[in-house]
Amino acid sequence: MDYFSNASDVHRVGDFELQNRLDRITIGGGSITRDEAGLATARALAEHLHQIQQQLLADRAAGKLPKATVVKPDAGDGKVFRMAART
Amino acid sequence: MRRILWALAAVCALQASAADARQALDFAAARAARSLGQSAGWPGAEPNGNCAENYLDGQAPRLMLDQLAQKVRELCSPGYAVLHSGVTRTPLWSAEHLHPERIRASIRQSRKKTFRPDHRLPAAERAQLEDYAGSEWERGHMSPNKDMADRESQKASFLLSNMIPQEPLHNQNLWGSIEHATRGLVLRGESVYVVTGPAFLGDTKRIGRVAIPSHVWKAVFLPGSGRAGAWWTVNRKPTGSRDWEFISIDELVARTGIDPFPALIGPARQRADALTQPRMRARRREMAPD
Repeated sequence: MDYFSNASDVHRVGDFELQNRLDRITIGGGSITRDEAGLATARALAEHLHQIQQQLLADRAAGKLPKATVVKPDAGDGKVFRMAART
Repeated sequence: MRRILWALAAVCALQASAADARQALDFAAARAARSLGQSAGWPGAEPNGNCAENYLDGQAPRLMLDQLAQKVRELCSPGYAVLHSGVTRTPLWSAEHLHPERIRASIRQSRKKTFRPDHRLPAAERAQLEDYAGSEWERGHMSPNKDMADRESQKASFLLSNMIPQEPLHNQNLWGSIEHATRGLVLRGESVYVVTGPAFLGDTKRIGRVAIPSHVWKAVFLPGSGRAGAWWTVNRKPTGSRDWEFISIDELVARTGIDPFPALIGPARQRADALTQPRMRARRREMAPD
């Protein structure tokens, strides 16, 4: 997967889910079990992490790696609709 | 008559400039065009599903408040059905019928997926990838990928019409545990009807053009034993307390204006049976009602 190149790709590694976005990769949780399956998961995950690291290093070498990602603030909008009768 | 109305709605939606006419038809379309996903005329058509098979006794979840029914469209996808709101650009509910075979098949699926906008919806009503860009909110599935039995339905579960902005740790820990617990109910051998959705209580903020829900809920009904109830969670970083509670279907209706199981009658609606305790990765504590 071309990390950080699109906001749509998702890879499953065992129970882990790696979601590609332009400004971040999100890794959803799973377990690495102490068995053959766990070893396979760990190896696959390490390969993905290595690729992510390579991309970040390439960004830095190109002078494109910011100190911190700027997060888009939530926009205020008031009530979408008055959903609840009570809570 | 129903077919004529959806044809009208489809033609109307294709004319992006005819916004007023579209709006006027929206409500009629939502009520009459029961199965948008089955309309061949929509651009970028997604694979079709059968909506009714996801509903208890074939009856779709019901909106009990008129204001929820603005710009709503029912989308039938393989494996699940959604009522999408063009106001929030999220589902209002997403329904599935789970059974053990389906979950066992799902466990074997593992392939690359892609998040993508749902082109069955008019451009003005649908979420785009850019709406979520640059924010810390995750794109959280309502009907989860892990419930889907085959490639086609797994692929369909990644449509943005099945997503809400979800707090990352909520999604990965608390919510993941609730989804897991739901599959656990099914794997005990029971068929389970599941309806999942967001709630928008109080002031609502947006990320891009997509409304951020204050709460996320999941209602379940087990026809085998007649038990029902709903998990109710706050869409925020789990704190270890007051993060979730288990409520009755009637209580859910009072809070959201959405009845997940209109076909369900009798005392099962009022009881909040402890169906199962989700094994939270986060700390497990009961949440007192707000």
